[in-house]
Amino acid sequence: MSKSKLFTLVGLVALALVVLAACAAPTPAAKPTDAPQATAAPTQETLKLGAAISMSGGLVKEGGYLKDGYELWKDKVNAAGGLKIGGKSYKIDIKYYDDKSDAETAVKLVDKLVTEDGIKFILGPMGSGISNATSAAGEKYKVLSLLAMANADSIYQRGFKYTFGILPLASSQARPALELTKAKGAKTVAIVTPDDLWPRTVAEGAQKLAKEIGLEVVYFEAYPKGANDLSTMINQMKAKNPDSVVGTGYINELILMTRQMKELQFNPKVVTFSGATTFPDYVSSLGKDTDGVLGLDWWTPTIKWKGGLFGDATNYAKEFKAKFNYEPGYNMSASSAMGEILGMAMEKAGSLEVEKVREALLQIDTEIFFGKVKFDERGANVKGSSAARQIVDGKFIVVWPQEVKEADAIFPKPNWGQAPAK
Amino acid sequence: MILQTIVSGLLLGGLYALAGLSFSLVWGVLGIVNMAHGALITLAAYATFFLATQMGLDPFVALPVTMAFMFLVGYATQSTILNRVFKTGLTMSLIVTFGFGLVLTYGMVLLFSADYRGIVLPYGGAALKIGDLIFPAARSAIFVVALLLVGSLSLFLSRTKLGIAIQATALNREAAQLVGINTPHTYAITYGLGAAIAGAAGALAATVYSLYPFMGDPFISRAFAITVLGGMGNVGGTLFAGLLLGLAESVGVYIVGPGYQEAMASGMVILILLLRPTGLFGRQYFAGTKGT
Repeated sequence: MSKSKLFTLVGLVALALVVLAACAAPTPAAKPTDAPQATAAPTQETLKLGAAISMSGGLVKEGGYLKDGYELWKDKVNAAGGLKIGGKSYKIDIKYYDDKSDAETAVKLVDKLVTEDGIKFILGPMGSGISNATSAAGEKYKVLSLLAMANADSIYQRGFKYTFGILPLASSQARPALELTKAKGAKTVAIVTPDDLWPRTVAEGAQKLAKEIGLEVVYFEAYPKGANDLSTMINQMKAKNPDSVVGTGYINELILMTRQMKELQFNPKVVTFSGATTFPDYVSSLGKDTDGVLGLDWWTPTIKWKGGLFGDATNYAKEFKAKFNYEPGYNMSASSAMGEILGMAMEKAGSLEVEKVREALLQIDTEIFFGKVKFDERGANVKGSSAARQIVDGKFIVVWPQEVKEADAIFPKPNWGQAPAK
Repeated sequence: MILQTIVSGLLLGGLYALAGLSFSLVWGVLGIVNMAHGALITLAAYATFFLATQMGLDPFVALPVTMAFMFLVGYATQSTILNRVFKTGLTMSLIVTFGFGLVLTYGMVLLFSADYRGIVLPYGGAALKIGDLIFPAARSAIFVVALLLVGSLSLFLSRTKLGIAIQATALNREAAQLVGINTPHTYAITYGLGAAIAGAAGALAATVYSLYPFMGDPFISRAFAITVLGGMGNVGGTLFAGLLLGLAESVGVYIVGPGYQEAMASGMVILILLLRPTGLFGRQYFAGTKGT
């Protein structure tokens, strides 16, 4: 290497160091909104929470939703003066790292949050896959993993003590549709799913729930993901003449089932497709053929859950939109809700000791804008419920759970392509 | 119930036969394993979709327009790209058509996005009922149109000068040139014809399936199976193989369960290769061109 090149290199390194130092220095002062209040209240302390979430990589979009949810909760609490824990008042500060949508990176970042930053409460990452890994790291350090976006049943079957998840379990997703079916006096149900982990978990959960609720499962079938003809399966189902059909899966399969059920003139009294109200393409590509179909969602702004920090679901959606200028979905509301429940447990415990906060979390039995919350020993939210929404003239109306419905469900579902009777 | 299953299978088989015919023709005459087959089907489906939603044309009425458009696409592709490379061998044509298919598919992702769309036919739920048997209107129409197209192609190949030129080129390229056939033109016509038939399959599929840029993919493996079964370039054999595959998928699923649906096509290919390596009709390469 020539001398001049060496000088250039040294110069560049020096410049880089200066820039880094300049970036690092203003960070504490970069919160002008917090600073004046902090000086006004001398007993004010800061509670540091940590989150390793996806800010790049494949889950960047969902990671952004998650962060917006946490931030809305944080700002709401701080604006109201912070959390009151054991006679002191705490402002919340969340330390974020980017897990690059990668579980291994996320685990390293949890190590860093715990060992370097000294944080004992870790807000969860995006998705069951990464959460599965980070909660294992949390368990090792005996710090709390507060999962907003992880509802694979397996996460809660490992006997962990320090993992809590706000989202109801995947296997419970079909519950409102089945309860509605039972309440309307229907007796038999057919359940079909593409043979893929997530839809199959929902379908097998539905099979179990149906028996608990008192419905007879007359047909259960897993077909290959991406199948392009389901006519034989639909014929088999039709021959069993079920009152109700539950189909899980992805948009392509749900559209195909709708079309072929219509072609083969199979008109059960209740039709539930897990993603019908989640994927916008379902209604846009099928139009009137979707009338009367039930979709399942973990949360929606029109559901009537209420209580807690945000008042109710509608108000939450309003505040969210005012801050971020887009409509919130279940991703954002679940992360805000997980934060809210953590804050609630800390105030109740009157302590920031992990064991005491954990005890308080296990005591919680409440309703907030996101729905009901009660954790069992595994840390799963067993009182949480999804919502069944019925498609009526292209609009989605919450029809179950009973206590939060917007309108009574149209029963029996009109034949395919026909307008619901008024 | 088993009867309904057979009806559904046969109706599906008509569409398979049409999709397989395009693949079989291109393979038989040009020696090209057309990996762009799925993308051509998808392109035609989108053309049909836009004709239906923007101009209000019924997909069955728009069919000739779509086919003419696809013929031009196919002719241009063969004369500008494929004529330069396909004589160098199977591998090169595999690579080039695969690449061409990718460009088409991702071009459609860019232009039309990956959203699912669908054509809602006013008669979508209508059906002919005979006793308990249901013949859905759209699927029955597809079946009839597919049979008509297969029949016309067969007549075209055996009765017209151009059709005979195509068969001659398929049999022996050099001899065809010696008797005055413009082979590059004939190749382009053949690929154009293949694209038009794939286009017909796509246009018909658009009436019963949802549209997205990858909707043509499942047809490739089935076209492959049909070609192996029916014999390359053999029109009658292809029709038979298509119907058989449709039946195998529906009756097979009825017997062993929906989990095995995707295995039917590959299972049939394996069976045929084990038992009758020359295909169902026992003739070798360029079958169907002899004795006409």
